Amino acid sequence: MELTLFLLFALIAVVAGAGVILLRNPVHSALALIVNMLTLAAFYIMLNAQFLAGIQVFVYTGGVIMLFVFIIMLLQPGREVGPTDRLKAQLPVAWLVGVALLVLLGVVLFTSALTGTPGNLTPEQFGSLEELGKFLFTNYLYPFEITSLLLLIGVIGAVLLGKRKV
Amino acid sequence: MIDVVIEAAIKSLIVIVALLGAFAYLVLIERWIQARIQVRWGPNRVGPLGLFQPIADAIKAIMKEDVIPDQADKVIFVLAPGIALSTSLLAFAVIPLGEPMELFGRTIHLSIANPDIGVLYWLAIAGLGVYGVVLAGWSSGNKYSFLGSLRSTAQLISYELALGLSLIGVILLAGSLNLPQIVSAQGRVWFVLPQFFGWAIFFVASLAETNRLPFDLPEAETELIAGYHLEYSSIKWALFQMAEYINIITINAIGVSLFWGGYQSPFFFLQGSPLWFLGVPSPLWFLGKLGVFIFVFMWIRATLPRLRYDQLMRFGWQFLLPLAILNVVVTSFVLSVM
Repeated sequence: MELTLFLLFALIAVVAGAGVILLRNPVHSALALIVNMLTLAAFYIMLNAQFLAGIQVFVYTGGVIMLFVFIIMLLQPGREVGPTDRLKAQLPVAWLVGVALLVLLGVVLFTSALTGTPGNLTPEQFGSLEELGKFLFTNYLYPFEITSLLLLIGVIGAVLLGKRKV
Repeated sequence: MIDVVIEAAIKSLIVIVALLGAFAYLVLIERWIQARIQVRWGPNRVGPLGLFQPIADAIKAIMKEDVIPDQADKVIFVLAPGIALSTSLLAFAVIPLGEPMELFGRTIHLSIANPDIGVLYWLAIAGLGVYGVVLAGWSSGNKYSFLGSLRSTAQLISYELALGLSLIGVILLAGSLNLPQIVSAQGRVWFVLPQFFGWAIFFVASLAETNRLPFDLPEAETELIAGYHLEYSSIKWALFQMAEYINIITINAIGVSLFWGGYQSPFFFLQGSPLWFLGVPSPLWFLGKLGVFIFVFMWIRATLPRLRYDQLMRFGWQFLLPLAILNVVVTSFVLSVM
């Protein structure tokens, strides 16, 4: 049952991911990315990380991709059709890197690097909101606060860059 | 396993039919209320007291010619009202209508879904609902629709912040994101009393989130003709109206569940007395409170003037958001000290 659901969502995720690259209209690509993000949320739920799934939809799909869509609609990049590559060697290098990554993925999957069982650093019942909250505010307090500081720097930078010189 | 799916399917069917029926008559009730406030009669010709007006409107909407503009992006043009309506309907899934009841030997919870992250689920789906608006305006191929949808989207994502932050006070008090638990935690004291400013912020933000007056510049007829649903005719326009009214119902249901005690009765102290039936929590209390707040939404629409767009954005970012953050800080401080 779980395998069937996983295969279904994986199929949708892969098709949506391919759609992001292959669709011609950038807004259609953004929509395909939304579908991909929603399947990721489904995977998080299947792994018992409900809070992460909710945050994935709320922040990523509802916030980040919304801003992508805004920028695409306002700036309309990529209106020209047809390849205008100046670096002729881009395509073979891309193939090479792609194949290398695929080989690396295969090596990681088919040797015993990923065991699929919780390791000795993961506590029991991990994934629920209480556990996540406890860990975030005790063991991982410094990364949490520093990350929020990073976001604040980003926001201030954006405001400064966007200000018009009066 | 399969019985869980069947139970959810039956509940979903009942809720969807109820919501669509409620939408139809809510439009009529709104027209009546607006009319009476403007000292005139509302629709009272079609059927007894005008009660068949929604049926006439539905037939008109279906029979109209369905126009897709030449410059429109056809796929997204057709998808956008679908996204708007489906997210509106999905958002209602977590609202608890009453206490769990026993039926056919099973305990049935009176909400379609009961995830541990109830409030976060609702916020996430409300965030997805914004896509219906922005895609509708862009795909119409019309500058005015596009401008209207951009304004509406900017308003929606700005007020989403204040909306979410105003709920944090309630979540801190209840200690959980799970909606039935939050409603149960209000057995004695409804959260509007300790969190009055939280509720006020939530109420104003919910007016903005549903594009209702005084925040309805994106739909203002005098400014942008009709905003993002300008190029939509026939059944697709009706779908947008459905999405808007179901959003109103859902957001008020969330407000009632989180601040005004949901299905809890205000007369809980009568529970041992001869008038015990007034103190029992029931879906009727929930529906009554929901009705009151929807009436307040309609009352405000008929009474207040519209905010200009820059006034609206300034209010959301420079007043409501700092107030919501202050609410969170004060609530956490008081809770940590006590």
